Amino acid sequence: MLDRLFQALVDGVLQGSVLSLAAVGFSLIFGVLGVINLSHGVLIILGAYLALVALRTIGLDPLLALPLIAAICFGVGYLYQRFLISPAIRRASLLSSLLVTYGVALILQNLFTLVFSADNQSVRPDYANSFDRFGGITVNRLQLIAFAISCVLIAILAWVLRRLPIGRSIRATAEHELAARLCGVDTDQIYAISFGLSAAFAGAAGVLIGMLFPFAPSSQEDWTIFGFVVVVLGGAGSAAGALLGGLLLGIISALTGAFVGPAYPNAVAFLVLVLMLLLRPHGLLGSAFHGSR
Amino acid sequence: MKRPLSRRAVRTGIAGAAVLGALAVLPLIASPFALRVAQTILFGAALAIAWNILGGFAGYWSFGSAAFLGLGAFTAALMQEHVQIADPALRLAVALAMGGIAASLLAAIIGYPILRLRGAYFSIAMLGVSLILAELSSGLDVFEGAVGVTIDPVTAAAPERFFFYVFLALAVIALSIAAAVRYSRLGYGLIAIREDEDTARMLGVPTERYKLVGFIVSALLIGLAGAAYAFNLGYVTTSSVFRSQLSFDVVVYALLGGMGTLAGPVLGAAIMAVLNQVVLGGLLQIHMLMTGIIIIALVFLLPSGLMGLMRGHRRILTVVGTPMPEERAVTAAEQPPAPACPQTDEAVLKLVGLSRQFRGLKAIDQIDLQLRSGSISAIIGPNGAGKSTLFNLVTGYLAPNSGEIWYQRTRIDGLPTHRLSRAGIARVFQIARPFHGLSVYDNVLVGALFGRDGSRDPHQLTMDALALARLSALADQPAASLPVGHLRRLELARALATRPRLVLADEPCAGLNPTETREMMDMIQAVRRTGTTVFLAEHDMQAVMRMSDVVFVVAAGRLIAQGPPLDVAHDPAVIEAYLGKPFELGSVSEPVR
Repeated sequence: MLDRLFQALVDGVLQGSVLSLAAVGFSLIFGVLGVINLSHGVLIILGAYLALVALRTIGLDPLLALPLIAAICFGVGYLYQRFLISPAIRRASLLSSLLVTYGVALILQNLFTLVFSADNQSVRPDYANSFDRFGGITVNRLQLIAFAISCVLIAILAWVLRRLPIGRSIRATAEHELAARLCGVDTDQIYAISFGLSAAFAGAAGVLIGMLFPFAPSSQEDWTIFGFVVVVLGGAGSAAGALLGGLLLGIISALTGAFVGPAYPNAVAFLVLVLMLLLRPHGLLGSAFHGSR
Repeated sequence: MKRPLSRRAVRTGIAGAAVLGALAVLPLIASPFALRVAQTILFGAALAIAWNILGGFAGYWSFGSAAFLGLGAFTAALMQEHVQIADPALRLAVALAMGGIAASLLAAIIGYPILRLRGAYFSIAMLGVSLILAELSSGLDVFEGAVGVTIDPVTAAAPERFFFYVFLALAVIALSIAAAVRYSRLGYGLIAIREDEDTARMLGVPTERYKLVGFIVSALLIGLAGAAYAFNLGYVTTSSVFRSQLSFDVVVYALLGGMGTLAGPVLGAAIMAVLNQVVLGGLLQIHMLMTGIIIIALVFLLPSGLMGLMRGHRRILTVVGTPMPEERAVTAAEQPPAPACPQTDEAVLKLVGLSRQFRGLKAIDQIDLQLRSGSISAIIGPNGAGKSTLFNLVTGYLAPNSGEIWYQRTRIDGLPTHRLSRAGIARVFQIARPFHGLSVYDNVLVGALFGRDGSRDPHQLTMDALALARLSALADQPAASLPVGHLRRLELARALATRPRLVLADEPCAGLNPTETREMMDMIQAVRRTGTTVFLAEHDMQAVMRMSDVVFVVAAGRLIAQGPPLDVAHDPAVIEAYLGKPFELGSVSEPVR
């Protein structure tokens, strides 16, 4: 019984770390731009398909391809914000970004279906199937690797946001765009960079997700929704919040999966989401960024 | 608000009747394919109209329409399965009703807590609700959602035609209800909530109740539509009705058509259905892809929705255009009739031992004061002395830690803000908070529609308040276009339209130039002449000295002096805490009064 509890907790933390990585970009965009990016899930799936292409064409191991894919996604995200989202917001309203990102999600999802078919795919490498035992707990080696990568990447993002000048500019822009501009911050640039960062993290998460789980174009919707859940649990715009939110979501899912029944993890997760919103609408860490007013 | 129907209303009515007539004969002439497209449009329109009641009018965007849709569908399906009713038409009617009731019950249960969330958080919470229901419907045996519930056919002959009429009826009902809401007090209140919820409350809009009513009405209609959808489909599964994509499609319809308008959601649903099924119908493979491209293109081509194309700077709220009186400067001599100044010794407002702390800081510390009816009183003091906190306490934005607030003969501390407005307390904010999206007239009209209890003529009240604030000429301008000085006057006009007995004005002259300050002072004098008590917080000593009957001085949360202006100005404690030196009236020696 105790073993089962520990096993569920460990599984939850391992899965949760990947959820955190997948959602941290969504949280950043919501916190900094106030945009609900409905195409976040499709960017994650983009990362997974890029890993698939790299593996199939040049036989590149997904883990080695990860930095490259993150870089490509950064570019995609940067251009996406600069040339599509930002003009739409300027021309119509902030809310129109909802339509634009929804449209992009539709386009990419169906493009993936055309190119790769609607079937489940996977980039699971051979070493994914080795297990290590620690006491009574079994741990999948790939999950351990994914956990390490997720934590390192989130730590890097936290460090960038906290310590680097660009991070300070991002946080300033998130707090108050006009004030940041008056202090000499090129906020248009900051928005595009934030979006690029968000997409890069989505892409990196997509590679890990592609290795861990089967994926299909239609799974993009779930990943966007996980973004919502994590933001609510952890609060918008902070790396630590996303980590916390993702871990919580992972643990909740694993615990309900182990003790309540396999059918319910999502129901419980969403129930926690709604309760959390009602009790602490600014997340556990309570970072009240511009999107979260 | 009974006014003769305008030409526009008549024209709209005739056009509506013509469209309805055309639709009624459509099944007799249209091909099955056209009929199916029309059905999709009507279904989408009904959903989007329902969504728009809360999302478009009140600005509360639900990403969880699927929750009500699915609940309505499942309730209807299970109803017809477990309760045997022989007559198919009756079976359908009962099932539809149950679907609608179930959805509105859910809304009533979750409404109060979930509507406390604002902006994106409300949207996300609603998405969460729909996801929870989706999981439950596929996981719980009662719902049989994973395998699906089959529904017996309602009609043997021509089901397409039959369901076309069902959806037509649904869309017409939804549109009529939306129109009725839109032009009722409920609708005006919801729009005020969308523009600025806190201000709406200060003007007497019962925000909590209105949002809940809007939510329930919206859910009822969506539940009905869901039930009809289920019967049309012939079966219900979790994946057919609890689809998040349905929730987002509805938002897209409303946004594309034009948020907050009546026809917008219908147009949005129509354009998407036609594009999807007629234009792109043959391109199965890239059909959804093209849909995405079209959505994005429409954002750029029609930034404010289809309805945005047709709207100029028309007043948004008013039903019927009433000719504006010609502009004329209202001078002090011809102000609205002033009843004899009923300045009495009765206290309009009485604070007893009032205290409020923020953590360790005593923002308001044991303050006792009384305002005489019909007087102008001013409260002065250094920044951070507690003036705004005091106003927040009196208007119900904050609750006191201890002490009592009495208004006339009622104790009011702890009452919600909108109740205070109904009792006759109005407030002018320090930073003007107009409803940016509305015209000047509509801003004031909201105050006139709500505010103090009693019979009223909202239009006349609005015009009077605009005249007093000298804004009649700008009535049709959007409030967002006004400069600061005019915004302050708008703020005052809106507060006056609530027919207050007590007006709290938080630094009405801050940021105004000398001419504007003088005009504002004149207006405040005019307000007092109507018998209304005025309570000012102000830094402009000239204004304070000239206008006030009584001055209260606060410093660090305590009342340190009170009395006639000149006495207070020479009080050593006041000089030390606030003035720095004894106050001398400037070169203008004659009091304005």
